[in-house]
Amino acid sequence: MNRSILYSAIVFSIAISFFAFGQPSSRPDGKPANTPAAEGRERSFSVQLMNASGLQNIIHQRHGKVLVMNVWATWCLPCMEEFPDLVKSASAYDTSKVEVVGISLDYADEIESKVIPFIKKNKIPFRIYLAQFDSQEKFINSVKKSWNGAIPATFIYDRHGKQKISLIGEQTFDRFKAGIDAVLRSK
Amino acid sequence: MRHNMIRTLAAILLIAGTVFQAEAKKKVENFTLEDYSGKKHALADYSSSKAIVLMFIATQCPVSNAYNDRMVQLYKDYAGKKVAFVGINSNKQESVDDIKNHAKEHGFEFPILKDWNNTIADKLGASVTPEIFVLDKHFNVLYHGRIDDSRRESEVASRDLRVALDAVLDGKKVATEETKAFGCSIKRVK
Repeated sequence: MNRSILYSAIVFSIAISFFAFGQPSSRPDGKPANTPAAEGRERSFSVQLMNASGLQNIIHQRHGKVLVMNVWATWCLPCMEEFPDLVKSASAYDTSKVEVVGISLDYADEIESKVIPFIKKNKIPFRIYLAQFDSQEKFINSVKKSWNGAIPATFIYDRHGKQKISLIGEQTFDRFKAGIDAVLRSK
Repeated sequence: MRHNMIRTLAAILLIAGTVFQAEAKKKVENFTLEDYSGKKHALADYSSSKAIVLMFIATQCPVSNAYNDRMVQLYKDYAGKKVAFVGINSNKQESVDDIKNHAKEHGFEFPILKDWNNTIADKLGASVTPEIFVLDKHFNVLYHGRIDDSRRESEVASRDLRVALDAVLDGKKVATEETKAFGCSIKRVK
């Protein structure tokens, strides 16, 4: 099947709803994490296809929030291994100050078979996009020219959409936290 | 006046040096690794080849595995043209037995070397599997990057490694010397 027809069929956004079972995580400020998952409410997750302009929108529409952008794929073992720490990091910050998003490098026709099951299994409390570029190289260069494309990779942007920190390779909660805190402290 | 001349000369040398540096090719030092049978292979063993293709590969990575048939076909198409193919496994969690079984299962006719402690991956700066380095007989890097541009063979639009090898065999400069390899991060010792 032609790829573009397939993507159209999948529609630009596939939304699923399910119950999240996450419990509130402790935060550095001691307040309960303000996420639907943490509050135990029903929440909606969406996996959206993201093209070049979509990527720029994500980066630049900051609304005063720091952005933590994690690039991953279901075939990437170290990505799987670091995800619990990424989820923990996302839950540790007020969502009005820090926004975490995941960008999957899986194929669009793997959303239902691989990406969504992974989201459910890991109770991911943040938005997941799926990169849809002409080539993976274009996506890599759009994020950071000097990045060799190895994943997992996490890029932290300040409130103005400026990329401040790149964390290439598998990270831990402490490393995520150190990066996020550094960017939160920056002007 | 004399000071001005010296400054001008220094500026010219600086610019020339920068340009020369930019033009200089990356060169790989000779190394020796064992294959899964315990046989030693030195890079110098392949110096009579027209090109040496170093392929960082894995046994468990779905992306690397998606290229198994393509690697077999590349070997069939180019080995007879004096192109040497050498697989390198730098993943810490993949044993020699894993590599041996994987090679037999997929019909790899080229040697696969075990890079303990990811020493060679570090020296070359290899990050993922699959990731390719094409060298000339002096071990200069002629091409570095991906095999082609899609994990799915049916969606490949740019066969970068084949294009590079064809250029080398034709005695031409490789037009695109660097592409971005994509795949699984090499699991390194920490």
